[in-house]
Parts: sequence; structure tokens; C-alpha cells
Amino acid sequence: MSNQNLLNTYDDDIVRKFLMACLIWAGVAFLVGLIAALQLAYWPLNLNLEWITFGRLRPLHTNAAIFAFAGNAIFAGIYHSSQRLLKTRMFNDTLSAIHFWGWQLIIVAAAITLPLGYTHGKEYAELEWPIDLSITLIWVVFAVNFFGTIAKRKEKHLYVALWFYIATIVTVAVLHIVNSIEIPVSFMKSYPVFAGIQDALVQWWYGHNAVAFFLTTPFLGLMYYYIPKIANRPVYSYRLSIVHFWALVFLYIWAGPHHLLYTALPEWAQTLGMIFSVMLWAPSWGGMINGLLTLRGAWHLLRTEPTIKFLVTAVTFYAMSTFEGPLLSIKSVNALGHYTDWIIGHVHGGALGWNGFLAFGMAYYLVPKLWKTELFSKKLANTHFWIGTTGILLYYISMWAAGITQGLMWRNIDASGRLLYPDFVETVTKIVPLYWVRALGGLFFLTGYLIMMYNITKTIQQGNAAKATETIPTPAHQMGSHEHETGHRKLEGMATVFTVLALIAILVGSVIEIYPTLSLHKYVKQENITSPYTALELAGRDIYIKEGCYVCHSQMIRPMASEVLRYGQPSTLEESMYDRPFQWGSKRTGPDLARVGSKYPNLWHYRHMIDPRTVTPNSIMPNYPWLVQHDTDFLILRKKLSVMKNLGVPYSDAEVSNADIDAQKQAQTIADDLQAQGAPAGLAKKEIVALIAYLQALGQKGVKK
Amino acid sequence: MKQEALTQFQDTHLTIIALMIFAIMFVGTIFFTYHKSRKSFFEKMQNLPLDEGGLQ
Ligand code: HEC
Repeated sequence: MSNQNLLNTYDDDIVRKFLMACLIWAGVAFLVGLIAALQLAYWPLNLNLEWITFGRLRPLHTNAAIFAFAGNAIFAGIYHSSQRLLKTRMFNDTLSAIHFWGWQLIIVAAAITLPLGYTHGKEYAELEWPIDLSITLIWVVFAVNFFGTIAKRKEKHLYVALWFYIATIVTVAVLHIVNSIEIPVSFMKSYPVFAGIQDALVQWWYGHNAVAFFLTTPFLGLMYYYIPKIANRPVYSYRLSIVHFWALVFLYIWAGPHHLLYTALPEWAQTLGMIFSVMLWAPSWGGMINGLLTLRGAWHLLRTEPTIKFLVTAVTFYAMSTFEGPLLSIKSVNALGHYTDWIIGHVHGGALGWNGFLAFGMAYYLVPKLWKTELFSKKLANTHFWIGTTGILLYYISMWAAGITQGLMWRNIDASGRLLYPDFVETVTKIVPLYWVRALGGLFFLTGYLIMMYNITKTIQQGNAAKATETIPTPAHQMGSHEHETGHRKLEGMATVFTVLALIAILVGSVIEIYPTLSLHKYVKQENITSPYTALELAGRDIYIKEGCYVCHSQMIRPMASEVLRYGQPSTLEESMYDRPFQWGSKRTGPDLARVGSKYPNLWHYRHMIDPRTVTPNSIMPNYPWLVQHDTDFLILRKKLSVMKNLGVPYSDAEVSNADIDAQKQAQTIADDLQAQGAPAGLAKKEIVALIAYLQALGQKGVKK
Repeated sequence: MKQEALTQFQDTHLTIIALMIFAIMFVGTIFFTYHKSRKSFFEKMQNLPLDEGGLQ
């Protein structure tokens, strides 16, 4: 094909690439998820192997699901629909290729570094700084390519799906950059500049908006393109889609603090998060209704077209999740649901139902189109649909039951004012059967996926990608008429203005929310009421982060009677003021650890870490035998303390320059104690001792002794 | 003491400002969107995804 001809065709090759990547990574994400689910049901599946222990596997699962599966799905859909909506080829094929290969490389880097324990210890932002930088770079490439395409478009007006893409690109950039401001300590280790409460707020502003602008807005854009496209009828109400867009984008950005209700976050920020989360219900459902009613008068398609079935069910799950989300943001409901499996169920309703099914529906539509053929088997697609739906329901219902059961057990206080279930592990064994049901749900979902892969492989085999190039209609009669334009119409022509407005919408919320908290923290710091970690404790803390203990343990005691009875006084802002990153956690598969310091003797921790069941029968916590084999890196501690000092932690010069020596001394004391209690000799330089030092320091640094 | 007071820190005016900004934005969007003169334009817009210039 000549160059000129090439320019007159859509670049579907890049769409095929992203789509294939999406489908392949999906398998990885689902499989790793299933293994992680099984590990919770049956702890020996941690296999005593550090690389696949739950604490490291779970971040791999979430990253694979979000950035590899959903990410590639978004890119496939955006590259496909934007070219058609803008009636032009992508801006630059080389940029497309760099975007594609760069993104896959990032995923591979994640798949290697996460099992090795290189992590920030912040959920969905685990990847270490060199990878963070690459993400920024590739995202910029994507942005340039996308906005370049908009600039050379042959359709004057921007359809609403494109608005959602623009908001996605701009906001994800802002979120990722702000949340990854960090100071490197070594090649694969860094500390965030924000500490404690600031870090918590920035992280959940990021975390929540990763859901909003990575898993929601781009998928809504896809919904607004593919549902009308496949049903071959316009969206129910274009007006509603505009209101939907602005209300959603504006409200979402404020909702992050609903992840921090009842924590040491200032009350006003919690209230703000709660109010905006509840309000978010309205635009979410507005969008949902708009998507569903697009099928008005064509409901029969729901029976005959598996593609439509997937899309409509996806939107239904979106409705469910966006109803449940605001519900869980109401403080009294949150008090029960937070830290439990209810949240895990909530997330998967969205991830499997909304993102998963939308991506599947899109794939069933795109593959035959891009390979110029028919879908190999509608029947198999229907089977996939039913097995997948059953899987999601099993998952959802079991996690609901598990979460509410455990939440109620945690807070149950008898007439004499004592906890009815003081042993945490009791509340765990109770829900283990439900963990099996959840794993079964995951197995169903994975089976459905495998059926789809078979179906799609067959489709591709019978198809012909080479013949499938679509030529772009001649620009002349496409370039919009020159009618007089006012208001929104002008706005739509002006992509730049639009982008700036969207940026303002998300920045207003971000600044009002985050800025006061930054200064608040400075204020608290001057009080200097907690002492920083010793060098050894810091080393232990980094091991805690590396092992992903935070995926099962919180460090944030909420101000409620049942929590105070179980864990001690509520956590204060100051107790985490030097925590980089903060480790408040979001899930209590195990008990809160904020005040575990001095609760048990060193030997207890030693035995517990090697095999939790020797001290707590029925525990589902993994064994950590390698902590007794690996040596602590003492030398790097000077660098670590010096970075911390530069970030404002009040270490003296002597503490920094003697960091390794001090640490070794403290390690020797603990090792001597362990040995006196019957543990083997020579543990001082082992990681286990540093970790014990950290655990024993938890809750011991503040005023409340 | 002071830190106790800080956790109770109530900056309600921030919440109110936020709500007001949203209210203004929302009313503005509704006004723009539901203005009569935009009807035909929206009809054109909503058909954009369906139109591939005769090519499927
Ligand atoms: C799969 C989830 C899981 C992971 C990962 C995990 N734990 Fe646990 N942890 C538990 C459970 C469940 C319990 C309660 C039963 C028990 O005491 O073993 C627990 C209990 C504990 C306790 C005792 C708390 C108390 O108050 O009795 C400590 C300390 C602890 N874990 C530390 C750690 C550390 C350190 C790591 C990381 C190296 C870690 N845990 C990783 C699930 C987990």
C-alpha cells in the first residue's frame, strides 16, 4: 500500500495489538487472583516461597487487573473509537507503537519487581520509582498521540465519549505524578515526600480517582461509543450525557476521603468525602440509565446478541457498584464494612462485572470486525456469559456474607462490656468457608474467560486481518457544516478550552481537599511529640512494606468502643507523622497492628513469623521462614536516615552517620533476648530481628504510653 | 491537648465552598444543555458514532 493510501486508512493494527495484550494479560490477572483467593482459603498454598506469598501476590493481582487488563482494554477501545469519531488516522504510528510496547514493558517490569518485593507499599501505586518514571513518560506519549489526533481531526465536533477520554488522560497524569513524588534511596527504593496523614490523603485521593479515572471514565466513554454502535441506535439522551460528564468529573475527585472515615483524618475532610460520595450516586445512575435506555425498542438484542448481553450486564453491575459505593461512604455503614471483605466484594462487582464484562463485550464485537469475519460461536459466547455471571454472583455474595459476618463479630460486645469474640482468629475461621466459595466464583470467571479465548482464537483463525483495513471517507463532506454556533457547540470545537475546563474541575476539588491538610501536618510536626524510628526499626519497617504485611494488617485504630477494647486507644495523627509511606491499611485479614508493640515478647513474634500456627492455632497468616535466612542491609541505613532527615525527620547528624552501628547494637540486644528465651544464636543480622524491632515499636513512640 | 483539638478541627466553610462551586457548575451545565436552541445540534451529535461514512 502506498503511503498516501496508508494515511487514508484507520490504524487498526494498533487496536488489534492492544486488544490481544488486554486478553492475554486478563488471563494472568485472573489466574493470580484465583491463586491469591485460594491462599486465603488454604494458607499452605503460600508454599513458603517469598515470591508468591500473599503479601506480594496481591499487589501483582491488582496491578495486573487494573493496568494490564483494564489498561490495555481502554487503549484498544480508545484507539479504535477515537479514529472513527474523529474520522482520521491516529496522529503518529510511531507514537502508537511506543505507547504499546512501552506499556507492555512496564507491565513486565511490574510482574518481575512486585514478586521480588520492590514496592512503595501504597495500594495501586506499588511500582518503584524507575517504573513510575516510565509510566509518566509513556502516558505523555499517549497524550501527545491522542491530542495530536484531535488536532488533525476531520470531524469538527467532539462526541461525548471523547470527553471522557480527555478527562481520563489529563486526570490520570495529575494523579500519578502527585502521588509518586518520592526521593530515591537506591535503584529500587524510595520514600514518598508526604508522610502520615498527608500521604494517606494524597494516596486515597489517588487511589479513589484511579477507580474514577482509570476504571470508570474511560469505560463510560467506551459505553457511550459501543452501546449505540452495536445496538445501531443513538444514545438515549445526549443532553443527559453532558450533564453526566460534568457532574461525574466534578464530584468524583472529592470522594477520596471516604476511604479514611473514622481515621485520624480531620473531621471536615471526612465529611466532605462522605457528602460528595453520596452525591456521586446521582450522576452515576444518570449515566447508567442513559446507557441502558439506549436499547429502547431493541431489547430483543439482549436475547440474540451476546455482545449486547455483556455490555448491558456490565452497565447493570456499574449501577450496583455505584449504588453500593455511596452507601459504604455513609459513616455508620462504613463503620461496619470498612476493613472487611464487603469492600473486596464491592470492588469485584465493579472490576469483574463492569470493567470485565464491558471489555469482553467490546472484544466480542471488535475481533470479528478487525479480522473481517463472524464470531466463531455465539453459543460459546453465551456460555461464557452465564458462567461468568454465576462466577461474579458467587464472588459478590460470599464476600458480602463474609464481610458483614466478620464486621458484626468484631464489634459484638456483651452485657458486661467485653468483646464477645476477643480472639481475632475466631472471626477469621468463621469466614474461611466463604473464602472457598469466593475462590469457586473466581474459578467460574476464569473458566468463562478460557471459553472466550478459545472462541476468539477460532474467530481469528477463520478471519483475515490484512483485508480488514477501513478507508477513511474523504474529508470534504465530513468536516461539519458552517452553521452559526453558540455556547456548548463552540466549546466542543475547542478541544483545548474543554481540556482546560476539565482540568479545572478536577483541580478545584484536589486543591481544596489536600492543601489545608498539608499545612495542618506542618503545624502538628512542630509539636514534636513522637520520636522517629530508630535505624533498626526503619529497616524493619521496610521489610514490613516489602513483604506486603499492609495488605492484611491495618495500623489505624478507629475511635469506637469495640476497637478500643480490642486494640487500645484510637490512633492519633502524630503517631504516623514520620511514616513514609503511611501504613494505615485498608483491609483487616489479620488484626490491627497500630499498638502491637510490647504486647508480646520477642520470642512470640519470632515463632509467629516462622509459623503463625505455633502460637495462634488456625491462623491463616503465611509463614515467613526466609526472614531468618536473609540478612538485614545495615549499610544502606545511613542513606535511608539521611533521606529521611532531608525530608524533615529530626534525626541528629550522629544518628545518621552511625545508623548502621546503632542498628547493629539494637539488633544484638534483641538477638540476645531471643537466644536467652530459647531461639537459636546468631540472629542479630537477620531480617527477622529488624522486623521484630519495628513491630515492638508500633504504638510506643507517641505520648499515649 | 492541642493535637486532640486538631483532630476535631472543623473547617466547615471548606465543605460549604465546595458545595457552592458544585451547585454553580451544575446549574450552568443544565442551563447550557437544556437550552432550546441546541436541540438540532444534539441530534447531529448523537449520531456521530453510527456514522462511518458508509463503511462498516
Ligand atoms: C494473609 C494475610 C496476612 C498477611 C500477609 C500477614 N498477616 Fe499477620 N496476621 C494475619 C492473621 C489472620 C492474623 C491473626 C492470627 C494470628 O495471630 O496469626 C495475623 C496476626 C499477626 C500478628 C499478631 C497480632 C496480634 O495482635 O495478635 C502480627 C504481629 C502479625 N500478624 C504480623 C504480620 C507481619 C509482620 C506480616 C508481614 C511480614 C504479616 N503479619 C502478614 C494475616 C496476615
